[in-house]
Amino acid sequence: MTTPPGTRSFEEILWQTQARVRAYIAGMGISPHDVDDLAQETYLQLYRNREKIPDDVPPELWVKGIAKNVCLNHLRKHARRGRLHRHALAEILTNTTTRLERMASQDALGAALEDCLSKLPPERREMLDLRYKQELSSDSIAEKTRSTAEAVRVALHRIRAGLRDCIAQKLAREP
Amino acid sequence: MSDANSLEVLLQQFLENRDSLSEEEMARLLEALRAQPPLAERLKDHLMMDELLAQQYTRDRQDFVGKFEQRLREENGHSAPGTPGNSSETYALRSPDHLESLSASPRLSANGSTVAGKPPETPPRVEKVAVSQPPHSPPLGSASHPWLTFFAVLGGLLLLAGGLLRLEYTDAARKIAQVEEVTGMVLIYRGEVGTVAAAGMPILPGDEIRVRDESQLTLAFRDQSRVTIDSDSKVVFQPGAAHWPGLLTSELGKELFVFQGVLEAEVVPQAPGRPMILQTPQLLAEVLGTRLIVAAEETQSRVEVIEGVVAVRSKHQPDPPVEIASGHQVVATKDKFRVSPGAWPSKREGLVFLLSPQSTVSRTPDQGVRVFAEGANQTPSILRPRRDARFEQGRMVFRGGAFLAEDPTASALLAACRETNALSLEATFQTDELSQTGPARLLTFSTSSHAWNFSLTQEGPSCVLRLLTWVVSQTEQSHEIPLFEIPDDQPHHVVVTYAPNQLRCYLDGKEIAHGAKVRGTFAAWKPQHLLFGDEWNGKREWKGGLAGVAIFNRVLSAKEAARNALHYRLQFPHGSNATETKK
Repeated sequence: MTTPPGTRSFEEILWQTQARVRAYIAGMGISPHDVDDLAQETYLQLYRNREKIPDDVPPELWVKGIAKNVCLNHLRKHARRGRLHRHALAEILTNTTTRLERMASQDALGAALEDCLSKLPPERREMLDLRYKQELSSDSIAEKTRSTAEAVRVALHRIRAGLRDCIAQKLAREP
Repeated sequence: MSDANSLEVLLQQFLENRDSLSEEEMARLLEALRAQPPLAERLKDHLMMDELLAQQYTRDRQDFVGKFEQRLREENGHSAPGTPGNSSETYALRSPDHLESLSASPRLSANGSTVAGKPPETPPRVEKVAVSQPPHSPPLGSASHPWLTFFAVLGGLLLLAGGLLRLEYTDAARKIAQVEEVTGMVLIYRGEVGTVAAAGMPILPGDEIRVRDESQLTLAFRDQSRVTIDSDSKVVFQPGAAHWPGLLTSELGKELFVFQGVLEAEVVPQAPGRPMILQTPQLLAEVLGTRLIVAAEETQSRVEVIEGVVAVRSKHQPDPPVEIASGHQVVATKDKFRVSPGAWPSKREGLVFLLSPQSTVSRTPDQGVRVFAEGANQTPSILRPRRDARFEQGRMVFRGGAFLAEDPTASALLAACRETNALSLEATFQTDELSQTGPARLLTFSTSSHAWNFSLTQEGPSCVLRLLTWVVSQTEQSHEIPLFEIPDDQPHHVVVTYAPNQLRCYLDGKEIAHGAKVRGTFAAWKPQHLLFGDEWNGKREWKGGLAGVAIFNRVLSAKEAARNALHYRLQFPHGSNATETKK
């Protein structure tokens, strides 16, 4: 039994980069329900061409290069409404590098997020639970919490901003 | 509603539903994003955070790799398990290491997905697809007329040579190294002028580097040697020693004076006769290619060799240089120059429990036997034997008993690990039998077989870690992770180190398993007992010897694990010389 050339490095790249590459794809404005499909398409292309992964380019950069092309192709072909606008938005966002994105290349990102989540007050955790675990819209959350959809959106916005700052602080302290 | 407010509403609507904006609203948003880059940054951050949270919370987003594996099989029309296929190339998208495949215990896997025992896969077809790759450069010398090409190349070479001769005396040519990474506040003084260090800045002969509190600087030399300077350090690149003018063949020497602080160097093999020279007020080290640490204080300096050999001599004594081998250190003062094995543990940061072979044992009629280990912040940690457990020649020996740490140690351990959500266990163990089961407890932070924060155990020939973590979407997770097969009944040094998504295990200084699949914090940890050799309520006794136990609330790096293994072996080659007091 032999292992094909490049297989091990492909596995490592997949395990080490998948969370951040999916975040990168989402950061192009791709709809959440398309993110994993496009990420899979990206890794399929990477796998088929795994012998071509260069030694002198960070693998994550390489994968993101493939992801960018896959997503722009997808937007060209499939975006039902506002096709040109979505494509333009993706290009703007691709050319924008944020502080979180620069730090997100660190392996400690997942740990930092978990740590920041564990320190959230219960009501904020509950809000995230409703939005992401139960996948409720802001309208439904507003109904449950006797609030308004706009207030829910603002609250979620603040929670995400707070988590981003918390992660940035933690990663900045990483050795 | 103001423009800014309505834009904010658009942004939040888009974040909620990417298809919710009308054509006109999208056009407005795009216009604003183009005009205001910070707004684009904010939107991108929120989109990424939104995705990271979905990955964390949404159950069907959590097994991405498993789903990708399924798709890969479908794409390749994979034959059913057991069907003969091309078995010369096997492939299963499991985690990239031994640990992941072992940790896939269906009984205790994190999200219920069984990952072990996958059938071998046939290789996927290799297809030609468009992948973003840099285009090939056109071949050189493709000009149509050969003389034209000749003169063009000659002219180019002459221009290049002239340019290089000028450049030789520029800062770029005099650059010894450049800043690779900066954390915190680092100042580089050139003459009287201090500049805040930033990645990419050149370091020239004569530069003085001051690394402030909680800061760090990494420099990369042209030959890929690296130097990391820790906080509260002052290092000077010696002027005049670094540059020999003369075309581009000139070698740039490296001579650093560490006035104060700690410097770690990873030096690639140097040209003969041109070592890297590291000085402190007390000593001078010539490095031809190795890894070492230099630490300097006002009255004392230390050179610790991690790998290779370094020649070190005292500046205050006429003796010739001494060659220091890996795992050893030299400590120099004005009057002394002493070579010894490196310290164990090599770094005490985050240490919450330490049982050294030199720990004191006390036997008194009223208190019985007590072993004085060290707790957090160097407070005493008292261990008491239960049933047949003894402390002999610096190690705990178990023949059907245990050592129990007193409560303050357990409380401090709980608080320290919950604060950082990181844990490292280090010990040197020698099993009496490879067939012990239970699993038998080498060390455990638990109250019973059903209530534990962590346990390092032996189950037959396997060393197994049990770890309790807390994940937002699934609350408590109990992991049982086979780490390695115990090679024999000889002493072995083990380090297990965990932070969410990064579990690693080192046996005798070498990494033996690692994985990113075990995740979660220690938010679910509860008050437990810290024991060695058995469970709190008995019945899980381990037979063997345990020594050099260190518990940290931080991750140990691979280098540190290797250093600790080597230093422990050099410091305590024959067990120890524990002090015993009797009253």
